[in-house]
Formats: sequence, structure tokens, C-alpha cells
Amino acid sequence: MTTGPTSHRDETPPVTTPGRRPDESMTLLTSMMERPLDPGYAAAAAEREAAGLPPSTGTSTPTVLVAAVVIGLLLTLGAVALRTPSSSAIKAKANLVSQIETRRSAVEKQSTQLRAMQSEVDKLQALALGQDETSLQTRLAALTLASGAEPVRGPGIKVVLDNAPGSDGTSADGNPRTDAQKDDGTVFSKDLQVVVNGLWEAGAEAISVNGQRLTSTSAIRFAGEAILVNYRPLARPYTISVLGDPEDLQVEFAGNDGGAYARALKDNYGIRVSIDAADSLTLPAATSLTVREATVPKPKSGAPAATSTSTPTSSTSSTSSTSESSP
Amino acid sequence: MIPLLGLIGGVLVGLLWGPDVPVALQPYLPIAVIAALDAVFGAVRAVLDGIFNDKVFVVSFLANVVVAAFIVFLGDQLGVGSQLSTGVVVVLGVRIFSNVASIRRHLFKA
Repeated sequence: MTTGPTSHRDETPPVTTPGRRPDESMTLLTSMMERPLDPGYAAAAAEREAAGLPPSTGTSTPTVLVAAVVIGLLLTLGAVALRTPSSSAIKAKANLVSQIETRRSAVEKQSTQLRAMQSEVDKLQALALGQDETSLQTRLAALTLASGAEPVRGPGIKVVLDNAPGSDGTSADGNPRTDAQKDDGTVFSKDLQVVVNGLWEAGAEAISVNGQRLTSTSAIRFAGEAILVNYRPLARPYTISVLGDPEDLQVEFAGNDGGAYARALKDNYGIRVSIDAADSLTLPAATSLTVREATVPKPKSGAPAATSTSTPTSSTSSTSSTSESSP
Repeated sequence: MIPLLGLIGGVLVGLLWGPDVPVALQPYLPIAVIAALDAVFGAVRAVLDGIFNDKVFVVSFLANVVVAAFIVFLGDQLGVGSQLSTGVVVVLGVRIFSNVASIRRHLFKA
């Protein structure tokens, strides 16, 4: 930008001094910066002058009008076409969110229904078994308790795990995938697994995580950034409700591997771990139980009762199909 | 005056008629818009220089748009579409700014 205000750079072509220009290696940049105007204009003007016409054709020609219309159209199309996708993306997102909410509430409704049906099945089962099948009844009760087929209530402890303060598992833009340092203070499925196993080892009679009852077929696993228990995503904090003698549980848990692991989580990663005794805890029944195997017991007194022997749920096989749930 | 009316007419047509741009053409729109702007500012400067020529204007406009779109297309095929788009934007942007600076000197003598 060394030219004066009155001189136009096109009128003073670059001086071709003999020898190398100092900026010869940058001729592309130089020509781009110093001669931005299409050389065709100058050439056309020179031709017209040679033919005795004024150098400029003027701007009021049909060609210019058409070109101006096309340019205006192009600008508008660009603005319109490139602006719409964002609003349609917002719409799609809202649509997805509402779909998730409807389906989640549908799942909730169906689980409640499922629990009601299960208790009905249990009632019918007890009715069908009658009074005389006491050995079967007691065995059934023990099996249902162990398999988590019915809700249980009693004293126990509550173990709450939560991410370390400051690591919410999400980054500033709210996308958990873009968070660079999420690994340190976040509770992983493995942490939950080890702690839960430690609690079983400490003598827990029944365990639920955020209202999801753990059974012998439950899985605690990761899907993306969410922890799934019984194939249901959980939101932090993770509350593990454990039924058992509160004092024994705490003492045993503090002494075994799970307790040591929980302390390590707290000390090394700042993950918040709290263990409290509770007088009365209610654990819901597991909803994802299904009969895998059923046999007809040898009839002792001719009663036509069929019970399963080695299954998570023990129920009559004719009604058990209602207790299936697909997560 | 005529070009301004034409421009406004084009904008109105685009807003009222509002044709949908095919998705396949959408990546080329921003580049085409910048190429068009380059041609427009070049034309304004030529008018101020007194050497405007309608044929040159139309040809440079069409050539800009087509070449820019072609470069982006080629880049997409080679897997370097975004880099080539950046290159096109830089070159045309520099030209636009130089022309605007010249126009400014014409109009405001500064």
C-alpha cells in the first residue's frame, strides 16, 4: 500500500527493472495484492478507446441488469439455504427429546404395570399351591427372595457414589464426548461393579442401584458415557441400597476388597463416596426376570402344581410368561 | 441505478419464490456467493475507474462462480474440500478487500 491517493495501481504497472525484483519469489502474492482488478476491464477499455468509443460501457445495459438479478438471487439463495439447516436441526433435536421423554414415561408405566402383575401372579401362585404344599411354599419364598422377584424391606446401608466435584462428566458445551479430562473424577461402571461385588461379599441380602434391583442375571455396564444397570441408563449420583445388618455390612465392607477400592476412589480421584446406615430400606422387585427352565415336580399328593426348580423366578409356568419384560 | 434495481429484484425473487437448493449443490453456495461478491466489487471499482465493461463483468462473474465451484468439487473428490475452500475464500477475500480499499479511496479520497 505505497501508492498515493490519486494514482491507481493499474495505471502504473510494476516497474520491470533489469535484474531480479527483491520480491520476485512472491509474484503470486504481489499480483494478487496489487492488481486485484480483472485485467480484462483495462484491455476492453483500451479496445473501445481504439475503436473510438468511450472506455466505459456504462452500467445501464440489459446485460448488467440480468447479471444483477442473478447475483441478488444467488445471495438470497445462499442466505436462505445455509440458514435453514440450523433451525431444522433444532427442530429435529426437540423432536428427539420429546420422543425420549414419551418412551421413558411409557417404560415407567409398563414397569409399574409389570410389578402389579407380578404381585398378582404371586398371589395366584400361593392360591394354586394351597395350604398343604408348605415345603414348596417355603422353598418358593426363599427362591423369590434370593432372585429378587419381589420387593423387600428392611434395615441396611446406603452407599452413594458421585463424580468428583468439578467434573460433571460434561464439558462447557454440554457434550460429554468433547470433554477432555472426564476420565479422572467420573464414576465408571467398573467402579460400581467392584463396589457392588464387595457389598455382596460383605453379606448383603439384596442390592439395588438407583432403584434397579440387582439379580443373578443383572449386568452393570457402560454404554457410551452412561452406566446401565439391567439395561436401563442411570443418572448420577449412584445410590446403592443394600439390605442386611447395617453394622456387620459396614464392618465387613470396610475390610474387604470392595471397601478398599471405594477408599482408593475417594483418595486418589476425589470421587464422593458416602456410606450411611438406614433403618428401613425398600428395594423394588426386579422387572427383567424371565423363566428359563421349569420342571414339573413329582406329585406327592396328587396336587397339579407345577413349579420351577432352578430358575431365578419360581412361578407356575403357565402364568410366568406375563412376567417377561423386554428392556 | 439499474444494477441496484436488478439486485433488489433478484433478492425479492429469491425471497418470494424461494426455490429449494438441491442438497448436492449446497456446499458450493458459500463459495459461489463469495465469487459473486468479488465480481461485484471488481465491477464497482471498474465503474469508478471509468473502464467498466458489461461483457467483462458478466464473464468474470460466471467464470468466478464456475471455477470456485469446480475447485470445491475437485477438493471434495480428493478429500481436501475444506482446505481448497479455505484457499478460494482467502484468495477471493484478499481481492475483495483490495478492491474495497480502492473504492474507498475513490469515494472518500482517504
